[in-house]
Parts: sequence; structure tokens; C-alpha cells
Amino acid sequence: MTARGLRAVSAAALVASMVLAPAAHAHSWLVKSEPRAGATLAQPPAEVVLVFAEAVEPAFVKIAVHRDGKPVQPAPVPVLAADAKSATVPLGAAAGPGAWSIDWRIVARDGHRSNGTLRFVVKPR
Amino acid sequence: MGRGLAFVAIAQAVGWLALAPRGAWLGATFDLCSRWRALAAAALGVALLAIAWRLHAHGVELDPDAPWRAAPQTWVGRVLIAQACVVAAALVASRTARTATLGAVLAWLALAGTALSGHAVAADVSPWLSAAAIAHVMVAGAWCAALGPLLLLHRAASAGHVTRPWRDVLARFSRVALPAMLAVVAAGTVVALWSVGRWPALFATPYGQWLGIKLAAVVGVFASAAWLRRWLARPAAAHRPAGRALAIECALALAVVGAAGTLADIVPGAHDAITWPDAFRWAPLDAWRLHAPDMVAPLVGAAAAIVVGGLVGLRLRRRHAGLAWGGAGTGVALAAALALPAIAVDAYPSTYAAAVTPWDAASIAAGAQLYERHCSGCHGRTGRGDGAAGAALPVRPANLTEPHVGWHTHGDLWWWITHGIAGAPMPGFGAVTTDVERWQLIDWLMALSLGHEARNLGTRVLSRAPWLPAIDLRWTDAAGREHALSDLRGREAALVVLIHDARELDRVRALAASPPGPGARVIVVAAPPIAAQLEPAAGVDVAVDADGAIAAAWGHYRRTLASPDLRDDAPLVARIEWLVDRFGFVRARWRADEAPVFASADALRAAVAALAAEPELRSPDVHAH
Repeated sequence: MTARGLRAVSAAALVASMVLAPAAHAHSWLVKSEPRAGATLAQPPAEVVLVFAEAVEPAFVKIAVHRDGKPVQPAPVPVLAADAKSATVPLGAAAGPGAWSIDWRIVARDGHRSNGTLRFVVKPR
Repeated sequence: MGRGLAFVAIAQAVGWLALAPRGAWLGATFDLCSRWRALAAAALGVALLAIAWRLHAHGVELDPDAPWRAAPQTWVGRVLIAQACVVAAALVASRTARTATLGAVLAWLALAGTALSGHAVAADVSPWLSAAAIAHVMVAGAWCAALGPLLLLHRAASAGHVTRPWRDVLARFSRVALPAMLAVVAAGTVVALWSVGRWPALFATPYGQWLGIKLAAVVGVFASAAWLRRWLARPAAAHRPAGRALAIECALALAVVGAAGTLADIVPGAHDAITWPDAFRWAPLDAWRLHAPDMVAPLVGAAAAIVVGGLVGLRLRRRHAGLAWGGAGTGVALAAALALPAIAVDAYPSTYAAAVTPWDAASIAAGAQLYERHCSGCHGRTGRGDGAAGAALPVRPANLTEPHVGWHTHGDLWWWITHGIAGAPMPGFGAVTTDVERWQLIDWLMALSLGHEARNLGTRVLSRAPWLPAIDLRWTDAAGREHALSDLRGREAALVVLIHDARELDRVRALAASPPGPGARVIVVAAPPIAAQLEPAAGVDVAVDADGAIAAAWGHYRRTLASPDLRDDAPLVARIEWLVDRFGFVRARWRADEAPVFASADALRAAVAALAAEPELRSPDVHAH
């Protein structure tokens, strides 16, 4: 192969490998929560704790809390732990019986995004 | 794309700037310093554009309306800004010959930004992993930096514009490059082990496949480098072929950087779902367990082929080198052809799938109900393959209480339960059960299998031998807060006390009066009528087992060698205690009917203290086959 041919092949290889790179997937997820996903509780929790697999970006943790399908007002503001690996969502006065869902949307520290929903039920005995 | 382009451009600038002041040493007949500083400035300019493009793309992902405001709020954004600042400083330094070396150092430091914005560092897992990732990128950058200038020097030497023999320059590079590349491979291996996670991910995830492409290119780099070293050892060798080998090495280096840039942008294999592409997998241990008699002849044949091939090779190596290699190669190929099919077992797309259910009492209890509904007709009420409907089948349904269940991956079990077993009467249940339900069934099957293994548990803790994963259990305290055994993970050991007879509550009172030590908690599991008789005590948690799920799940771990107790209608034991270490493994067990004299409070405290001193030896994830 000539030097010019080699140059052309190497340039094509570099461009192809960069262009063909699959789009970034989301890969930071909820590893644990309190209450746990699917839990049925006798009493409403004062707060919800979300624990992520990796550190997340504090400015881009978005939480939406719904009770029986309706958004909780005022919208709870998540508080991030010092290691940025868990977020605490205070439910405050809104805590009560019903089907709860916590929609979370985060950006991991390496820039990738992820989202999901935590559901639990509060049913007094 | 920006990441790879910035890396290549910065690395090239490092090379141009580092060699720019060496024009006299190289014997350049032109103003090498000015020309190479200009090249470096151009490369740094390209790098700045690539970084800015990356920063903008990152910002758009965060907030399309205000990308430049959003990006600096993240770690990646701040790293990119810092990297751009250092590159700009290197650009300024490249303007004079006096500061060219400083520019090279600054540009080299800017390469760290590539690692700092990557997954291994940003994930903040451990300082060692971060150090390996940074070292990998920076040493690779230094190697990459030399390639462009070397190619140019080769051309200049060919044209007579450089008087120092090109061979001298190349020899100097080669001396440093080999240890540098070995260091790059070592650091890269540390990062890859973490990011790939499990070996099947190497073959069955995009991350693993791109890593394979990168490794192939790295092997090519080593091959061309080895060719160059051999060329250097030959004094009268031609000039031109060495240039071609170097050009090939440069092309492969670009392929390595391209693949590395792709790897940085996709999900690491350790975090990705594995869909196995082949109908088989190589698993010598599993193959031996499943069909040992069929393996003996092929393995003996393979060993014989290796021995014969090796002997032929040794015998002929002096007189007919070609025949010697051919003989040895044929032996290895024949051995592979015999041994590889023998150590293969069937595999399915879901073979390495991860369970979606936790290893807990609720999942096992749900699995038991599903088993009763869908499986007990053939496999029998207690799983021994003795169901009435199974009697008429041409093949007897499997006895699920035998250890073979645990020899298959959970993903294999999932596939059979979902799709049935080809060539066997076992039908698929994918249409009548949900994905989660089939994982719950597998949890129940694993409880059966591990229950069989649990017969080996003793009343004494064996040092550094965790093997039986504890089943997670949950309880609600007096204040309504939910707790789980797994919450203690990494912090405290637990003594799980299962009580079926209220008369055994005295033991709980004794434990409350004389607790097993500061590093352990007592968790009592009892049905509501018994739990109600227990007065609250500090250090004792009570899991009220209203539906009996915890007792049923942990009951699988009641079996001992003295009471194999394989029938599930065996009488309940009044009290059983299991000591669970802080990493989630059951380490010892006492049954009231077998060991009436329990470990004394002091002995229990000593066992807890010994467990507290043990490091974490393995993961308690029962789903990791």
C-alpha cells in the first residue's frame, strides 16, 4: 500500500470510528431507595431517599412527586448527599395514604443521563 | 467525536513542541523550530475547536435553550473548560522558542482532561481506578505525541533535510516506547476490568465489542513496533520499509484512539444488559458437572494432540523449521477442535441476563405460589419431579431439589421457563406469566437448591468462608419505618432468630439481656400471635411475619446433615438461629432440636468479633452465577 493510500485508510478509519459510535445510553440508575420500589407501608414516610449507582450532577437532579396520579403541591425539593450519590426528597405535610410515584431524572457525573420512576403505596392497617 | 479529535490534536502538539527546540541535535537544514511550533499552534487550535464543540454538545444535552450556561454546572463541563484553558496556555507558550518546552508540558497536562471527563474518573469509584485511568491516557498521549514528528522526520531524512540518521532517532524512541506501552496496557487493563465487569460482556455488549476492536488495533501496534525493532537490529536494512511500518503504526494508533473515544461515549459493559449471541458458551466447570462422562475422551485426545504436536515440533525444529511450526500448530488446532466442543454447554440469549427481583423472602414466597399454580402438577408439590401429571410424560420431570438447578445460570432457567426446553416435554410459560413472575419462580428454585447446600452449615463459624447468601427480610419498626436485613450490609452482623413456639421467647429475652455485641443485631422473626408476646427491647428488632413468607423462605435453610428434612411437610422446628455476617452471608446455624446447648453469650460475641475483623471476600449476589 502506498503512503497516500495508508493516509486515506487511516483517516477514513478514524472518521468512521467516530461517526459510527453509538449514541450515549443512560447508565446511572437507582440502586436502592427508601421506601423500596413496590413497598406497601402502614404509615407515610416523612421522606424518600433515592440511592444512585454513581455520583450525579446536583444541578440536574429533577424529581416529580405524584400521589394517586396528581402532582404533589408544593413540589418537594430534593436534597443531595455530600457524595452526590443519594437524594432525599422530603414529603412534609403532603405525606399521606395513597399510591405514590417519584419520577426521577438525573445526569451522571460522566455526563450521561438517566431516568425512572419509584412507586410505593401507603395503606394504613 | 470531539474527544478523539481533541486527544489526537493535543498529543500531536505535545510532540511538535517537545522536539521544536531540538533542531540542532537533529541536524535540520531548515528552521525546524519555527515550522514545528506553527504545526503545534495549528494542532492546538484544532483541539480548542474540538473542546468547544464538545462543551456545546454537552450543554445542549443538559439544556437546549441555554447550553453555554448549563455546561459549566457539571463536572464534565468544568473539566472541559479547564482543559481548554490549559490548551490555550500551551498555545501562548508555543509562540516563542524559549517557551516551547513549557508549551509541550502544558499540552501534555491538558491530556488529563480526556480521562477526567471519562467514566472511570467521573464515577468516583476509587482513587486507584482514577489514577489508572489518568495514567492510561497520559502515557498513551506521550506515545501518540511522538508518532507524527517521527513520520515527518522520516520524510525529512529521506529528502536530506535532516542530517542525524533517522535510525538513531527511531532507536531512541523505540527504547522508551516499549516500557511506556506496557504501562499503558497495564493501566488500561485495570480500567477495562472494572468497566467490562463480567467476561460475557466482552462478547455480548457493544462496549466489549469496541474494546475488542481497540485491542486488535493495539496488537497491530505492537506487531509493527516489533517489526521496527527487528529492522533496527539489522544494520544494512533498507530505509523505506521502516517508514511504511511506522505509517502503519500511526494508522493503527488512530484506530486505537477512535475506538477509545467510542468506548468513552457508550455504556460500560458492566452496566449493560447482556444478550448472549451464540447457542453455546465455553464453561469447563459447568460442562463437567452436566456431562462429565462425555468429556473424558475428547479431553484425553486433545492432550495427546498437544503432546504429539509438541514432540514433532521439537524434533524437527533444527532441520525443518517450517515443518516444526506446522506440526505444533496442527497439534494445537486438533486439540482445540476436540476440547472446545467438549467444554461447551448450551446457551441462550438470556443466559447472562440479570434478575429483576431482589433475593428476598417476598420474591421467594411469590415464586412458591407461582410454582404451586404452574409447575407442581408435573414437578410435584415439593419439587421432586413426582407430580401426577408428570407420570405420563415420556421423560420424568426434573427433580428440582437436587443441586443441578444451581449449576445452570439463572438466565438459562429463565429461558426454559419462558420458552420451554427443546426436545423435552417442558413447555414455555412466557404467555401466562410476566417477566417478574418468572424471576420470582427462579428465586424460589434457587431457594430450593441453596436449601440443599445449606445442609453443610455448622454451628461454628468457619473463618473466611462465606458461601451461603442470606435471604433479605423486611420489617417495620414501632415508628412505622421500614427496615431490611440488607440495610446492615457493610455495617453490622445479624442474628436471625426464627421462632415457631412461644416457649422459645425466653431465648430472645436472654439475648436482649446479654446482646451478641456492638457489631451485631438480633432480628426475631415470628408470626403475629407470638410476636405480640414479646416486650420491646433495645437491640432486638421484631419482623412480624404476618403471611409466613419469611419463615417459609428462611425455612429452606433449616436443613442439616442430621435432618436432611427434604419433605416440606416436616414438623416445624421451634427455634432456629442463623448468624449472618455484615456482608450478607449466613455463617452458622443452630436448631433448637439439634443443638439444645447454644453457643454461650461469650462464644457468640467472639464469633461476631471474628466476623467483624474479616474483609469482604465476595459479593452476596445470589443472581451472579
